[in-house]
Amino acid sequence: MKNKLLMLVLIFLLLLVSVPSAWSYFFTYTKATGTITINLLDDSDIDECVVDNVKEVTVTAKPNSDPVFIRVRVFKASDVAVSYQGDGWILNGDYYYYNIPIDGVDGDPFADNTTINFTVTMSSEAEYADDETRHVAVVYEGTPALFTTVQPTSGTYWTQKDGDTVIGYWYANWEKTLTQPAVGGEN
Amino acid sequence: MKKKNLSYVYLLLLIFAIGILGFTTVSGVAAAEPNITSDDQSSVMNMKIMGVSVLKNGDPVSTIVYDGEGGWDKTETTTLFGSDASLKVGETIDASITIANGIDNEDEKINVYTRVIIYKYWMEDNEKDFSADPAKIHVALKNISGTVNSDLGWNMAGNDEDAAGTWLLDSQTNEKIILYYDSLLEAGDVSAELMKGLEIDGSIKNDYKTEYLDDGKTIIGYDYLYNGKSIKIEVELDAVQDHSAEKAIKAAWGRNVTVNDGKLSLND
Repeated sequence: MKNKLLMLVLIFLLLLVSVPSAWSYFFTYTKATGTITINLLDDSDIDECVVDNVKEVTVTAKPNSDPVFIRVRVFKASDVAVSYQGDGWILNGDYYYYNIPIDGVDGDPFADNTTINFTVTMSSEAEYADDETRHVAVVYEGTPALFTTVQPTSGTYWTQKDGDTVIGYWYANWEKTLTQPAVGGEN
Repeated sequence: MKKKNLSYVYLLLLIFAIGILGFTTVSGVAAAEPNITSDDQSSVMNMKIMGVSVLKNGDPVSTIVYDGEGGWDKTETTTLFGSDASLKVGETIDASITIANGIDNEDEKINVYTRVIIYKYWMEDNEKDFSADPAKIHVALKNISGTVNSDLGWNMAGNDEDAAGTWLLDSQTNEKIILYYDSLLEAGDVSAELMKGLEIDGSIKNDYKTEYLDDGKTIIGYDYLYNGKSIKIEVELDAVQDHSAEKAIKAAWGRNVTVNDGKLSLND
């Protein structure tokens, strides 16, 4: 009986010494956390100012809008001559395309590019054969700028860089345009 | 006679076990009191304490300090990005992350080796969103030794020439990365910068559901899958005593490391 008791004590002590000593080291931890909400919005607005026979069209990305590509098209009578003016617009087919996305956020990568202008100047009424009023309508469309790291082979795209390093490419899919109050006023 | 011999064996085993137990206990105490030396007996009475912080832009965000009585005081001063932080495609959030050893009371702290685990994932309605891709969260890291995988959302933002130390890349997935700091953090030390900021992958705008007008052609708007979701970033800081660091790190984190002349390296 005495030996059995001694055996139990021995087993207990041996188990005790076999417990890992990990807890005897001094260590600790702490954690810092943070949350950021993602807001995605594609929205732009158009303003027009008509003075005599000059139409100034201003397209503005709404505040907090994500980058969108913009294109405009001018509808007119065949006997109306018009000329267009505006930096950064590229004629391709029936549309003028603005070559950089606009967005509603100040700062990179589209800094100072929340508003773009397009000017249409039409010939004066005195040049028409009749006294009818001629109409010129400017239609604009927007589409969300999509992002890829593979350089597009065609279509409208803009290269985002950090210094000389290419970050990626923003491109437009004009098969899918955003519905806008797109038709501008008449003149 | 046979029974008597058996008793001697038990007795010898008992002495042996007590001896081992006593030896182990002594070494355990020594490990727990790493800064006690024969020349500094006062340390026995006033045990030096451990306290580390995660800093953002030089300010403590989260701090833990041993209270000297068997407990820990944790202080979370603020969150990493503020309470109403938001991010859009194309924007970058700057968040310079470093860690420090007891910047608030450097005389009382023990020296430590550290590791940091950064987690990044998506949240929706205050719950983790497993359907969203963590690789689309791009975290810019600095002063890293090892090759970070940008396909997983870890990017390099360069190394500082005069960096105090280097962060050794241990492992990475699209959701977490484990980095060991190669230098001892003595009391009052601040580490080399390990994170610079973050941004989201522009391709999240490619993931949308569309709604069509009756003509079936014109899209009236995009319902983005990622709109309204949140990015969650966690920076976990682990610290361990410098005394018997290799054994302590193995015991605490299960990692085999080598400490040579104060510099930590990861064993293969």
